Amino acid sequence: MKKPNIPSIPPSEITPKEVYLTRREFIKAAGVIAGSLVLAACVPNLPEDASTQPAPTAAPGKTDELGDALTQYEDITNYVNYYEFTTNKQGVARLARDFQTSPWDVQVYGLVNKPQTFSVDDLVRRYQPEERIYRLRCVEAWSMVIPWVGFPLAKLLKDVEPTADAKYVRFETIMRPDDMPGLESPLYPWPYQEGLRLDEALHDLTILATGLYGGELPAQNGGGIRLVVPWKYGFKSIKAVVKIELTADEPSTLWSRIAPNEYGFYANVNPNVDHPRWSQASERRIGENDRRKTLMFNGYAEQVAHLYAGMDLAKFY
Amino acid sequence: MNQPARRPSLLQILVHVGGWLPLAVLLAAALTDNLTANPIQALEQRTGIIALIFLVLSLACTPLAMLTGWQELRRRKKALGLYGFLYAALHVTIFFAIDYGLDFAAIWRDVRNKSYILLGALAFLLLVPLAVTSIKALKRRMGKSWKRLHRLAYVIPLVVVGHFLLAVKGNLGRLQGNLLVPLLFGVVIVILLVLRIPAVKARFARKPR
Repeated sequence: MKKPNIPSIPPSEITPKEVYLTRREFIKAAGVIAGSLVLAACVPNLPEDASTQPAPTAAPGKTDELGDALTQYEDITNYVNYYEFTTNKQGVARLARDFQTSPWDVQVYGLVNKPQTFSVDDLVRRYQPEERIYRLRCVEAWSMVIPWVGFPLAKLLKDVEPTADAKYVRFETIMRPDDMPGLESPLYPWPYQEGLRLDEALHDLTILATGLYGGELPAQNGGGIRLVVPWKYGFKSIKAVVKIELTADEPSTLWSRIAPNEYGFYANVNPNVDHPRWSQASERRIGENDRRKTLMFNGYAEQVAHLYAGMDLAKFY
Repeated sequence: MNQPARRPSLLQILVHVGGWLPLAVLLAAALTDNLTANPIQALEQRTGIIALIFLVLSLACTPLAMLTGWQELRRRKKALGLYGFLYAALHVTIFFAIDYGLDFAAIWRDVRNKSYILLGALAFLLLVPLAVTSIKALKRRMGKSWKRLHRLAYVIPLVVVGHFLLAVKGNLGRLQGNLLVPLLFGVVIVILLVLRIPAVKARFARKPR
């Protein structure tokens, strides 16, 4: 994979964290006051205090390998689909504020020779996470550019030694009903589950992320640890993973159980395969106003297209 | 209809303040950058919900007047319906002009096979003649056909709920996904329609006070 050429920024150019946070507080306060003049109770969804979390210093000028700027930390941490908390994307950060993400254990089991439970601290020590700047393309036709900190899932899978029968990997999100009010909803078949074909899981682009913007991975973005598969729609990149199981059969996933005609197992970003609801041909990058064309495999075709050689992607959507 | 010019009633004030308030709130949110990280989508979704709320309120006037005997409610359904049309028009305008920047090729490509957009377009097209014929002079000239045309007001909210149900993530057949809000609207609308059935009406109606 080509590594992006990132120009280094002299420390003097970087806004100190305190200044940067104060500035945001000021803007937010101004917004709150102006809003409450109209009618405070009616102003919907003021972004809730991401600032109570230590926001890592933004890295101005950083881009992905296509030259697109990073999405703002505040947007990444305050505009999130995480239905275990709430279906309101702006409400997740507040509800997840006290969610414990450390210590965090991940159980790896199933068709492997060395099943094992790892703590995230273990994993970080073993696999030395690095920054990966990836585009995230939500099936709802919005997208971001996110500087994750993570390590290839392949490293972990190789260490547990999948058996010859292992063909798929199943992932499961934590269920903590006391801390995750959304789990009360009977409208979703909890727990959240996702899956990958083994060769997809072993691809170098597939990472387990433990950090964001050089800092910790906030609870609302899937901390303790989450999957990131940048060439697939965002819902494949399951958050708060506690179980990783190697299986022989294609695992069932939450969204394909709800609406199999809309959410396939593969869910590769594909502008040519339509969705009954959202345009998959174009998308809105958060922070921009114009739509942009969605790229095949979210711009990672060169790296991943070979995984699907000979497959009818309209059928295996 | 033989009201002399006089001070507007409390209900009237409420209707008109309530009619413009959401627009003021949306504008304030837009100006203070409080429309989420995805402001265009937020505007689309919020104007849509607000439009539906006003259509439902308009639909509720007659049954509520019947249940409570408060006859003034019947005279407010026109304004409420027109506010519904206002927000529906904003909803449609934002979709075409801001979301898609009037790129009709892109709109056509994205729209033709999306039943939720087609249902939404149908609902709006049905609303237009109702809004136009709400003008008093036209109403008078149309006579009986006005009443027939305006029976569409019973159908449109259901079409809008269909649009809403198809626009959220989920599966109606399995009752799974984000269906709660649109289904609640649907239930309310059905109740409001059932209350118009003559037999039901006879059971619940109170004498005008």
